[in-house]
Amino acid sequence: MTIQSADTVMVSIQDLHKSFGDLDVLQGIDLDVHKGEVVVVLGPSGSGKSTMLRCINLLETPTSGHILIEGDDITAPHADVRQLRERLGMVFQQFNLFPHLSAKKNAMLGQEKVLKRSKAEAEEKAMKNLAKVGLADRADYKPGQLSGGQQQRVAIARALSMDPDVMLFDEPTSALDPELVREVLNVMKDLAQEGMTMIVVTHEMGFAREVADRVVFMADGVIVEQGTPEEVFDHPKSDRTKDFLGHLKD
Amino acid sequence: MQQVKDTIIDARKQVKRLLLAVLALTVVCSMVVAFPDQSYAATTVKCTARPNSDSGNDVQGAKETRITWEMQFAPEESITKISLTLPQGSSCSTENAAISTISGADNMTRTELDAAFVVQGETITATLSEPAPAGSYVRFVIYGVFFPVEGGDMVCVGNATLANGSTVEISDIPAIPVKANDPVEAFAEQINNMEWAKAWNSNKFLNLFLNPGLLVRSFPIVLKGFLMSLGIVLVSFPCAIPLGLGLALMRLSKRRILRGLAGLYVNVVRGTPLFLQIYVAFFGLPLAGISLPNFPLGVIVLCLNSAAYMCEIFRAGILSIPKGQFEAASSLGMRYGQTMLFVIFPQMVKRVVPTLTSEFILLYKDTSLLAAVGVMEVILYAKSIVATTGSITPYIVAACFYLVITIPLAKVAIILENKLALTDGGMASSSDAGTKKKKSRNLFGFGKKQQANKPMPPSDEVGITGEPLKRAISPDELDSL
Repeated sequence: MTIQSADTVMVSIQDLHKSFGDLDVLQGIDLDVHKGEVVVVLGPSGSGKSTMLRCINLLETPTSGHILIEGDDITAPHADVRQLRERLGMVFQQFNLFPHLSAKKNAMLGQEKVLKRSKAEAEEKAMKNLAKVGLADRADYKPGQLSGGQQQRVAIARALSMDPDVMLFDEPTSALDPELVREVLNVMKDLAQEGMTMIVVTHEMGFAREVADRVVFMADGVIVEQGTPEEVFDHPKSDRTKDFLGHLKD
Repeated sequence: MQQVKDTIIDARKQVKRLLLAVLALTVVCSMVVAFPDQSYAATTVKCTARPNSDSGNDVQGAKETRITWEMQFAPEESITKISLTLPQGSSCSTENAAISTISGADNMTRTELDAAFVVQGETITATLSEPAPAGSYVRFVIYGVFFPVEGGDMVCVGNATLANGSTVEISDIPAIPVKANDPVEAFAEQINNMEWAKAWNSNKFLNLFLNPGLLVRSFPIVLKGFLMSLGIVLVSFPCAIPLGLGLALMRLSKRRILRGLAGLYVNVVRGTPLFLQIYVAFFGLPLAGISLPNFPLGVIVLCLNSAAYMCEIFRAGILSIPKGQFEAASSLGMRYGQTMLFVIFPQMVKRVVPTLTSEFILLYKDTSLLAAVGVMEVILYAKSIVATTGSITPYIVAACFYLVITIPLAKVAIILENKLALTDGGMASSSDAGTKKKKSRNLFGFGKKQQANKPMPPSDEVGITGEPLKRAISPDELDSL
């Protein structure tokens, strides 16, 4: 396990449980993510990896357990959820861009309404981040006029414009045509290299192997195995992991 | 003593003089009455026009009437020709015109005289084939008379040619008071007097449903009702929008009490006829000591009624927005109000506009129910004309006043729906990219094009219990944003 020099724990998940009715999706997750670390969460469908990610910024309310963002308990009864959420940027599988707003406005809305930045400031920031994802020339396009890959990059720029401490990616390339996946992964790779703390749920093994500091393998609501990409991919310890990786190779 | 006598005699003389003077005056006066100036060939006894107004009391301009002119000729006079000149701008017809003498003990014997009638400009002339008996009482009846539309005191001048060849003017004809007629009324009259209109109206069915003159006459009257109806709907509809939106947010609230209250309101209002609600408001409130004029009360009732329907429109609109939009907004740290205002409402508006247009059409038509409580709107005005004319035509005019609004608006709604279907395609691609779903056209403007896991709110809505619907996004989720 490569632990980054700065040993600050950005996200700490402690004994997280989540059930939908009778269905126990998460059955006790413990995970610490350190500053600058890129954690890739792998696992078969229904293993609870997306649910875990969504619990981190309370899009799903945990049934029990604690989630600490930089030491602040987001699950505490009277926690300022919105203030804690500001530190987390989220990228969704379905992009969830605001269809009535241009790419630039998508990246400005949160800055103006939540961070109370001036219009000029927000615009500057939005343009900077659109340039970072390579879409400065599409700033005035509406989401409907952009390709899936471009939309997802706008979504990343939107999240980045809020200056988050941690970025959460929920299967960011799953809804994309194969030829568009690369452009999104490249943006994410750049982000990782800049030292952004990232938690990525994905099926992109290549990305995991190349970018991840740590790979977490989940199955049936628990973390089965975790370690460096080499450890998990090349020397998996559990049969569940071996089985999963074996299927992928077919 | 002598002095007193003189004084008395003086006084007597003075009285005598006074009496003489009075006598002389009386004689002169009675002579004037008994023997009119010999320059008049005849004395007009009466000259009247038949009332032709709806009330039956007045003579109106630009509306057909009949003039009856009766005159007494001097004993030695016998006429061969007589003419009547109507005021400038009038007209009359030779048709049915008649001249006759009236005699007998109580003027009961009428003798028709043979005469040829000619109309020249405003003058109608009757030339008798043989002179009328001397000193006769003559009656001249003229049909098809139209006085000028503006009315006024109509002064006619007569002219008689006597058997001895001399012509005398008859200028003692009393003026006929004519009421001004409004131009539309005049126009309507004119239309119904045209040949084609007469032919048209001879068909019982056409006359009953599409009398052209009545069509024209009804127009300005029903127009007043149209303005009333339009006024009511133009005030109540915009007022119902914020109310409906508020109710929709209440129904989507996490708080059971808000949800219950809004649900109760919506179910009661939508579950009872508007007709009943109007009755309750218009008859109940005055009994409770609250009396409002018709217009504001009508506006309030329609507004409160429409708000319930709009609540459901807005609620469906909000629920049709993909859950991901709420999640994206909350992941940016936006508050519930901010999310609604900047993310959800702008997207919802597009989706509800076609349905709102339909609601406007419904509300506009519903103003007709106010007729039942005496609000002077389209139908009530039309009904008032139907009551006096017995023709259904005013109702047809009323129908036109509804259609003139509803048909263009229905068209607009269709255009908006199509436009929405197009832009929604673009929106769907933003959330469905890669999955390449077959996009069905959606007549109601929302719901069906969402991803499979965002169901359209069921259209059968809610039971009387106010039980919340299965939602695309639950109230808890909404509130936690």
